[in-house]
Amino acid sequence: MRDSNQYLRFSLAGAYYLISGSVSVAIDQRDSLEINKTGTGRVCAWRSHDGTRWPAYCLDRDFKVAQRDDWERAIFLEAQPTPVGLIADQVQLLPEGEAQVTPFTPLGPLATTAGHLFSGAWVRGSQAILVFDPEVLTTFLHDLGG
Amino acid sequence: MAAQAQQSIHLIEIPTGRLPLLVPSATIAEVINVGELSPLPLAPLWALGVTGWRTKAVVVVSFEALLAGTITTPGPRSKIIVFYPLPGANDGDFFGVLSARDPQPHVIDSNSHLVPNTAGAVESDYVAATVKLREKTLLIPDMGALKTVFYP
Repeated sequence: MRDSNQYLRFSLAGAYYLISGSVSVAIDQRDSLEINKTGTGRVCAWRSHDGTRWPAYCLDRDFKVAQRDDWERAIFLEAQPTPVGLIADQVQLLPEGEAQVTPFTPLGPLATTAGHLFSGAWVRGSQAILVFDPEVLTTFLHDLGG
Repeated sequence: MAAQAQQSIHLIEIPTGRLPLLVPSATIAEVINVGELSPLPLAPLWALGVTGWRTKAVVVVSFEALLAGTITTPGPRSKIIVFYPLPGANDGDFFGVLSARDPQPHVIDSNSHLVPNTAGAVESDYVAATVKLREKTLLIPDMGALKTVFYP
């Protein structure tokens, strides 16, 4: 189990985000995943594990499901009934204590049925890197699969 | 008999893509340049993104989008007006409003020509009043309505 003060930084559709490293169960390269080549469905790729398949979703900048082929990795997050993945680029585990995360609450109505997607931010100058609420993100991703 | 001191209030005019806003200068924490604006996925159209200010992440709001649902993007002369938290909001809930260019200060006293613009009032939940200052029409935001839409 990684320290909860360690964060994964990754880019998604050109923007950087953080998520606690403790909720990541696997980070896989594209080559090791089963790509959805059917052109149908919302899942971008699957990870096979002990007879189960963990879905991974590709999102655009507005967090709508997208299909693209130029991605590098998938981050799989602890969730029930199975882990669920998010397609990402430039994934990096930050050293413990590097990211100074402060609480952040987005304005406006709840973004998902489970709550706001973001619960913190790492501010560096004018850049604010938003930090996912892991439970909300995994619920959101699972809900994408219906 | 000593002359009675004339009361004055300090206001800031915030240019937007539509009519400018007029707010008390005491509601504004700082005016900053538009730096990096991180996207805020699944947010309403009026939430343009998030910027870093001091140690805080501040949501930047488009008042034009609140009024008319129009998509706004920062221009080369745009500024971000960082507001103090609204009454009743948490201490750290600063927010930003996108300004088309540098805001303008005004000092209003009894000699100023600040009058209601009853003929051309803008109908919106987010506008408390439409006023005329000399020949210019300005909107006074309804801070209570903003609080309701920001923190539903």
